[in-house]
This record gives sequence, C-alpha cells and structure tokens, in this order.
Amino acid sequence: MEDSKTRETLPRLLDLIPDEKEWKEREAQGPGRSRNTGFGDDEDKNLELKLGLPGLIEEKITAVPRDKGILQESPVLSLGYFPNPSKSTINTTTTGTKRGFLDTVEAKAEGCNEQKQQVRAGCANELALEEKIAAAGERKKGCCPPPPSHAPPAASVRNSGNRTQAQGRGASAPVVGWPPIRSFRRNLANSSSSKQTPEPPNGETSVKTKLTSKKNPLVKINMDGIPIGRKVDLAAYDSYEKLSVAVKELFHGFLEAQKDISGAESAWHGADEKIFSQLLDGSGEYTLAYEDNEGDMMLVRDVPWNAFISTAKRLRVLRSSELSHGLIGAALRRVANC
Amino acid sequence: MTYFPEEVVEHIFSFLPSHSDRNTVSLVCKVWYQIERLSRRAVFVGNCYAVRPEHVVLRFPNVRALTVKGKPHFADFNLVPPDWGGYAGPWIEAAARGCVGLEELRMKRMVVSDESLELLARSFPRFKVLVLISCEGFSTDGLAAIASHCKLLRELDLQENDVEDRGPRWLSCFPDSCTSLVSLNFACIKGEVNSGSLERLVARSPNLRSLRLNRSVSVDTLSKILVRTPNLQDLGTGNLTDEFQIESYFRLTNALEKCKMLRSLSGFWDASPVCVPFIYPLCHQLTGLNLSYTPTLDASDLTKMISRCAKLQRLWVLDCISDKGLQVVASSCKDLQELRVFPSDFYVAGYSAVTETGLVAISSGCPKLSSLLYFCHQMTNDALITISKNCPNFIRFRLCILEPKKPDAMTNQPLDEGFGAIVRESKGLRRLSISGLLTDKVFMYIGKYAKHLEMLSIAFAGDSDKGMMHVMNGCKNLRKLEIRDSPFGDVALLGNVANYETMRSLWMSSCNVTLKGCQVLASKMPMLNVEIMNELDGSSEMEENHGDLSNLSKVEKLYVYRTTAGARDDAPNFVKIL
Repeated sequence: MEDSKTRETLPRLLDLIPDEKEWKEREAQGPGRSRNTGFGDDEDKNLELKLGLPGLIEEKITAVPRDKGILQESPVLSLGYFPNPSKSTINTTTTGTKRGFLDTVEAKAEGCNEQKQQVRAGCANELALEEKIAAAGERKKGCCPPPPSHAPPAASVRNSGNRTQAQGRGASAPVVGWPPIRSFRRNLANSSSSKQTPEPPNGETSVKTKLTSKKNPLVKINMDGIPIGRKVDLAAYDSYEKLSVAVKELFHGFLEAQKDISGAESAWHGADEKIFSQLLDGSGEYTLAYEDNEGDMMLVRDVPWNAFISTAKRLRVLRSSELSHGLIGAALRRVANC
Repeated sequence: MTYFPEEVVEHIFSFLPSHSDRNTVSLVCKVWYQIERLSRRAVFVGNCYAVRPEHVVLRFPNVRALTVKGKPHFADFNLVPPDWGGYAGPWIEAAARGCVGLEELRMKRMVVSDESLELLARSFPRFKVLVLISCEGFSTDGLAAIASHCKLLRELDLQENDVEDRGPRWLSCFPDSCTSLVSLNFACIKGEVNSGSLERLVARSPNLRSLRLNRSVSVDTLSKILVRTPNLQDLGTGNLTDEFQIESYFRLTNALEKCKMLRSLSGFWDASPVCVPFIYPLCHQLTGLNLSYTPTLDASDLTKMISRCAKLQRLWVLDCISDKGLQVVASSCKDLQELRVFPSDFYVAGYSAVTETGLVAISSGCPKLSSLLYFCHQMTNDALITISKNCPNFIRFRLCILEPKKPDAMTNQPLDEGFGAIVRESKGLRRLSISGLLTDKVFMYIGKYAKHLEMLSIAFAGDSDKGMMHVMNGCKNLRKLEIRDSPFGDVALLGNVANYETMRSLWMSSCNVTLKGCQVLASKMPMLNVEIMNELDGSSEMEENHGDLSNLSKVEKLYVYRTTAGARDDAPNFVKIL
C-alpha cells in the first residue's frame, strides 16, 4: 500500500539530503506522508525531512543544480497549499516559483521568524488568492486585456471549483501547466459544477428526481474559530480517515495565520498532530461533526461511510470542549471499544 | 518528363497524395517547380512563423485550402505566456491580397480577431470551410460576419476555442439563402442560441452531416432538429438534463431512431443518468462516442451505455469510468482503435478510479488499439509490458501519470522498462508522451527503437544530457520535441544541431539550458529562430548579473524552430530572439 511504500522510501530520502541547498519543491503527499514526516525532531541537517514525491531517486536531486539558488538564505516553509502566488509574495522562492512548484518543506526552527512571516503572508494571500483564482477561472483568454506577466501561474492554478473538491488528498502544489489538460476542459469542470445546483422541479418533471445533485456533493465545512468556511467533495474520499486528513489540509493554514507569532513556533511542529489527530474519536482538541438531512448535528464516525456521504449536508469541526460532557464521554467509550 | 505538355505533368502531380511528395517534385527542376506551385491546391503550414505568409501566397496563388498552426503544443497547458504570438491576421490579409480563390481555412492554436474574420468573410467569394481549433481572440460577432457573408459556407467547425460571447445573434445571421451547410460545430460557444433560428437553419440544410450543439440547446430543440436530419452522421447533443418533460425525451428517441446514418455522438454535458437511456437505441450503430465533457455520469451509467456499443472504434471518456468500467469496454468494444481517458480530478495527489489494471484489460480485449491518451495515478512496468504485447499497433501512445516522477506502483522502480517495451513492440509509433519516474534509460530505448517517432513529449524525466542525446541521435524522423522540467542542458541542446533543420520545433522549459547555450545554437544555426522567454523577474535578474554570469543563467523557456522568415517582428517584449 502507499503508506508502507513511502515509509520504505523515507529513509532513502533522509539520506539523500546533503544540505539545505538541495531542497526541491515537492508536493505534499497523501494522508500518511504529511503526518509521518515529522516536525523537526532531528537535529541533524542530513535528516531534515521533507514532503516529497515517492520514489524520488538520488540522482535526481543532484542533477538539478538550479535548485541551489532557491533556498540559500533560509529554508522556506510553506504549509499546505499555497497555489503558486504572484512572485511578490514569497520572496525567497523567486526561482522556485518560476517553476510553479511550491516548497512544502518542513523546516527547522532556524530562520523561523522569516518563515513565519512568509507563512502569515502566504496564509493571508491564500484568501486573496482564492478570489484571484475565481477571477482567473472566469476570465476569458484573449478577448480581454491580457493580464500582467504573472498571469500564467495564476491562470494555471486550478479553478476554485476543483480546489474544493480534492483538497484533502494532500495536493498542495499546483504545478504550472500540469496535468496537461487544455483549459477548455478545465473550465468545463468549473461551469459544470456551477450548473449542478439543482433547480426546484416543476410539477411535470416529477417523473425524474434530482439525481444530478447526488453526484458531486460539495458540502460546506466550518471550523470553530475560523470565520471562513471551505467546501469539500465527500465523494472524493472513501473513508473517514481520508476525510479527516482532508479536513486538516483545509484548515491548518488558517489556524496558523490566526495564532500570533510567538505562539506559532511551538504550535507548528505539533500543531497539526494535536489539533487534527483525534478528530474522529473526540479525544483531541477538535471533533468532527456533521449536520444530517434531518437537520440534526451528529458525530462523524457512527455510520458506514456510504451512508454518511449520502446523509451529510454540512460538516463542522467543533472544539471538543464545547461539546457536552455526555457526548465526549460517549466518544471516549467508543474509542475504548474499538 | 519535360517534353510532356504542362497539363499532363500537372495531371500526374494531382495523383500525389501528400504535401511532402509535392514538395519533393517541386525540387526536381524549375519547370516542375512552376507547374507544381501553380497547380497546388492545398498548403499545410505547420508553424506559422516558419515562413512568411506573403511568400506562401506568392508561391501558391491558386491555393484553395490553407492550414496554419500557431502556438507550440504546450500553449494548451498555459506554458506559453499570453501575447506570445500566433496571429492569424497576417495570413488572412496575405491571402486576401494574393489568392482570392481560397475556399478552406483551417487554423490551430492561433489568435484570430473579429476583424480578421470579417476580412475573411468579405474577401473570398468561394469560401466554404472554416475550421478553428484551440484558437482565441474572437467573439461571436466574428462568427456573425462569417455567417452573413459566406454564401457558400459548407463547414463551420469550432473545436475547443475560447470565444467571447456577445449574444445569440450570430446564428441568425445565416441568410435564408444559405442552404449549403454540411457541418456545423458550435459546441464551444458558451452562450445561448436562438432555438428558432437553429431549427430553421437545420431545416434548410439538407446536406447536413455533422452537427455539434452547445450545452444551451434543450432536448426539445434537439428532438425537433433531429427530425429534419435523417442523414446526420455526427451529432453533438445539447444538455441532457432532467429538467424537461419526459415527452421531450420520447420525441428524442423517436427522432434518433430515424437517424440510421448516425455514427458518432458527443456532447451530453451535465447529462442526467435518467436521460441517458433515451440514447440507447443509437448505441448499436455508433463508431465514435465522446463522453469526456460529462462529469455527471458514474461508472455504472457509462458502462450501461458503452456495453451496447459493439461497433465502437473511438471512445473518449472521463476516468470515473473506473477500471471495472474499462473491463466492460474491453469485453464489449472489440473494434476499439482509439481510447482517451481524461481525469475528472486535476489534483496531482487526488483520486482517480482508473489504474494500470483498466488499461491492461483494454489492451487484452481490444487488440486493434492504436491511439491512446490515458490519465491515471499509477502504472507499473509489468502492465506496460503486457499492454505492449497485446497491442503492437500503437501509432499514438500518450500516458500521463498525474503525479510527476511517480515510480512503478508495485516495485518502486522507474518505468523505463515499461515504456521501452511500448516503443519496442509498436514499431509504427509516431507519437509518444511519457510520464512517471524515468531515467536516461528510457531515452536510450526510445532512441534505439522508436524509429518512426515524429512527436515526443517529455515531462519530469531523465537524469542527464545523455537522455536527450539518445533521442536526438536515434529518432531520425522526429519533428516535434517538447520537454519540460527535465535535467537537460546545453550539452544536449548542442549535441546534434543539424537535427533542428529537419525538425519543426523544439520546446524546452524549466530545463538546464543556459543563455550561453542558446546563443551558441543561434550562432551555429542561422536558419533557426531561437526564442527565449523569461518571466519578468528572470529578465531583471539577468540584467543585474554581469558578464559571464548572465550567460550562465538558466533559460526558463526555449522555443527553437526552423524558419525561412527570419526573426519575427511581432514578438512581445518577454520574447528574445537570438
């Protein structure tokens, strides 16, 4: 399975990292990887971990000297998905951003302050970028005055329809022009999802129920303490674990932006673990709950996955402390019984 | 042969099927050159900057059909900055001055303005065929001009263009006297069209063989139209949603049943699964089916339909069909020649329901498979080897593993052996796109076995210059080489420069070529345009560095092509031509 494979390759990756200069832009990998790569546990530079593509072989790292220029000043950390922003936002990655890759490097504490600023800048920009993406998706090529030169990265960022669907899969680094799909096809996905909001059926069409609404259930998800919600496509996952990871990917960037700088340092390395590790059993700081088709708030986890996705209308990430004691007790009992 | 009257020689030339044959005979002697050029009816220009439009028109004044291609292929994926070029204007203007007998114009990846379309519409009294593929820069007003003034229009075929919508008026511009339409494809038009105008247009077009509607056309209109087109061979439906009365769908089925010649079906858009069964009566006669614009159908909907299409030769579908669905395809569609499986989720680490299993199933069920485009998340060498043995007739093999550099999913090895098997077994392979984890070895295989390869697309592959050298030295028929994010540098770029004269173009982006390397290439090969493109930051970095340093700076994007036209004068400021 993927996880065991990545664990096998991890030791190789660790050995392959001679110095900071070889940081390559990587994509955050699927569920297991991002959590297991650790957060600065190792003092030894050689063991600095990074989120990388599986099976990345040694020769590749040395064969790409261009990356030497990328992170000489300090390792740049960017959490989660900062879709390739305009060059001005993340300064130390100019050459990196040219490629369209993102640095999803978990770095050590050194140079932390600069990183934090970048992260904050990145997080803040992410929201602004959402608007840009939405605008980019709707902008028509050619007939409108062409955008400035950083447009290609913006245009290549996946449009907001797609963004919400598969966030949780650990996809955080849209590469310019990848995958090689024509923009006509990319835009189709955008316009098609906007057309799928079901219209109220008139009398004559009672023969057909609104099957289309079932196909791509994009449900809203809100997290306590974060004013802005996200949307997630439940059909893109096939288990609660994967959904839980997805939720983490969706929100941890926002969380960091909300904490102040002094708190962020300690929060970073363990933050994700602490906050999101126990979403499903109620023992962590936050708990995942959903609103079902009858309007009731329910804890995630009780029903089989398929039943869950067909009845869940909204998701909430609640502070566990705000749940009633009774609920928490029940959750803990469930954990004990599993 | 020079003693024959010119008419006889000309007649003999008319039997030459291909452009390259005609090009060859024109080189024999001056007399033949003259005869050939004056009798040439079709000209194909693969790169609009390879030759001046005026020269083409001067040489072939009697040309009837002109095909011009503009931007490099990677422009489809936003790798070419906007305003790079590829303007149709100069071509249409030159033709308007020099060959007014023009009847057919086909353009791909070009920037076409409404003014150009207007000029086109007014300049060629016998104009019949306009095909625009992946073009941009025009609006429905330009189409209105075409509709209004091209009295003999037979084909208006718009494929996946980016057209600005200025209202439905354009369709109503076809005059009542226009009865010659054979093919009308406006599937990429985003806006609505007037259904009454459409119905009337179809009603007065008895020769209509191909009709592709956009998603705004309702089932009602579709069913009314189909009653008028019993000879239709190719149909692109409007939206097949469940917002309509069931009577409309019954009418649709009845109309479809009368279209005995209908072989090819596309469209569907946001089709509702309940509506698809109304298409079933058609399935047994279909040879072509494009469901790739339709994310609303799941694997079972798709397989229920496709399992009825025993004669299918060409299938385009989204990956929601899943491996199981592909197995159904493999057992139902024994004549399948072309398969394209597109991703429904563009995220690199997202989810795809198709894997190597589905492709292996297809290969064992459909041995005639010759053209493949397959997006998936994982592949194995074993699967590729099996596929290569099951299907030795590949002409086009394009595999895109969505995660760059992903190794064999079982063994974690590079996919060199798998692709090596493909090029070894399919001796007629002309087009190849590779992906996944790949070392220089795969290029060694390609150079050794892919002798007929004409187009190669490389992304995130290879270890060193040797990789690209294998290809440059081994693939003698290579016409287009496009490379991104691979560690090939100046040594590879300059390793076999003579090749670039026989190739149409080379694209390299995010590789290791430096400015110096490009300068050397440009100085060694004056008949090439060596275009380099750097993002704005890049060029300011280059200016800051001095002397040698600047020459060693990496070139972000490089586009090299042979040309008789010299450096083009319409290049934007981010393009430097060395």
